[in-house]
Amino acid sequence: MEDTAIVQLYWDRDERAILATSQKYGDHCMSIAKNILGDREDAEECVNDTYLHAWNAIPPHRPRILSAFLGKLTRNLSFNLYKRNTALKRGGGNAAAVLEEIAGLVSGTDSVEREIDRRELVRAIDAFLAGLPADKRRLFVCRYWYLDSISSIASRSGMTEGHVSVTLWRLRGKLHEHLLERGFEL
Amino acid sequence: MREETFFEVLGDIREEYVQEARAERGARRSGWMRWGAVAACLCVLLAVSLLAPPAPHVVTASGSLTITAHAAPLDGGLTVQEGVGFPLDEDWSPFMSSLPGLPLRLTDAGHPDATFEVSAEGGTLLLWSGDEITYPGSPYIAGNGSTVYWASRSQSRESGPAGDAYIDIVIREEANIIGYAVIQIYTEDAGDGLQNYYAKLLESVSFPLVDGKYQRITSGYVASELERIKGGAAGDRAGQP
Repeated sequence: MEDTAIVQLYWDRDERAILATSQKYGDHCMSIAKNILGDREDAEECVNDTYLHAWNAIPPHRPRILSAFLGKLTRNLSFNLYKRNTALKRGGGNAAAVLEEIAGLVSGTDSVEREIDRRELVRAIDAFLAGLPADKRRLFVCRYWYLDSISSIASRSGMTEGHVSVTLWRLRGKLHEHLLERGFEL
Repeated sequence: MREETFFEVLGDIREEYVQEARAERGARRSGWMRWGAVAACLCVLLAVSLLAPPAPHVVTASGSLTITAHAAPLDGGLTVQEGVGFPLDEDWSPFMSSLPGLPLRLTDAGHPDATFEVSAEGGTLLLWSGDEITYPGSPYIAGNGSTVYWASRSQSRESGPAGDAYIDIVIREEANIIGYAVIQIYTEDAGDGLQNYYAKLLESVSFPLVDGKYQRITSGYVASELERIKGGAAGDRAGQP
């Protein structure tokens, strides 16, 4: 079913919207949740919550890109559960490794958070991504948005795992430099 | 900033990039199927290359979008041409106009069902109906023949210094991207604390049908092109005396 038709089902308050969403994007959301949480049951819980949140958000929202909209809901819900699990010392998927990689970009304290315009920061990151060749941009987004494992990125991109890791390291360095040049000392 | 916060910020990047990263996935296969497919493609390419010149990846044409800027509500308006500033000889200033913002009427006569996804980078988009002004947010999906208004930060509810702004327009027919355009808006000091606004259509591109079919143009590709054009324009402006 076309995305516009699925979104219209939500707008019509037709519960077939949930079925259509799960059929078309269930695997997509599940892979994101599993990448973050590692645990299948936890991931299923987040995917089901994704459908509920989509139902509550549409209308009034009308997503431009349904896959990205649903993926973002899953990412946020899964990361919230990951933080709760971490507090309870329960394991996770790739989130811990990704957070460790991100740690090199930030101070790790919240002293500057109130002073940073989050929207401006997102725009600066978008500008950085826009300047990358498409294959590098996809690599970055696969790792830091979808939290794909290094091995799965390597197998999909035809690169070795070492090459993926080094490329991501260079991209993080360039992003750090890009943000510093624009006054974002994080 | 904490890692968790930065992770959440990364979640807000442009949806086009999120879509782009997964768009490749469906096309990729693993193992022997991939190599089998590669071998088959090479055979086809070899055969095709003997028969016809290679087709370009994306076929583009000059833009089909017409943008009309009105200096006054009832005048005929000025058709904006690529690379030419507008409103041409008429400097537009929010203080001298009865309009709530710089008006842009978007039409595509060749595609009556086209919709325009309009995003403002800097400033705010406005809609004006009767005496009521509404803020539709960005991006805003405008129908063919719609007029949207752009207001600078100093006019809008946002605060912050006025600077160059851009309006991105992605043109679609249903879900298919059939073109895009970028408008740059910049200010010049008109004295007495007033500023004139100038707008320039930097580039307008359309994607014609190929063999009677829509080309598969991704949002990520268009987003990259828009950023490239804006990057070039910003560089040009920075180089001006």
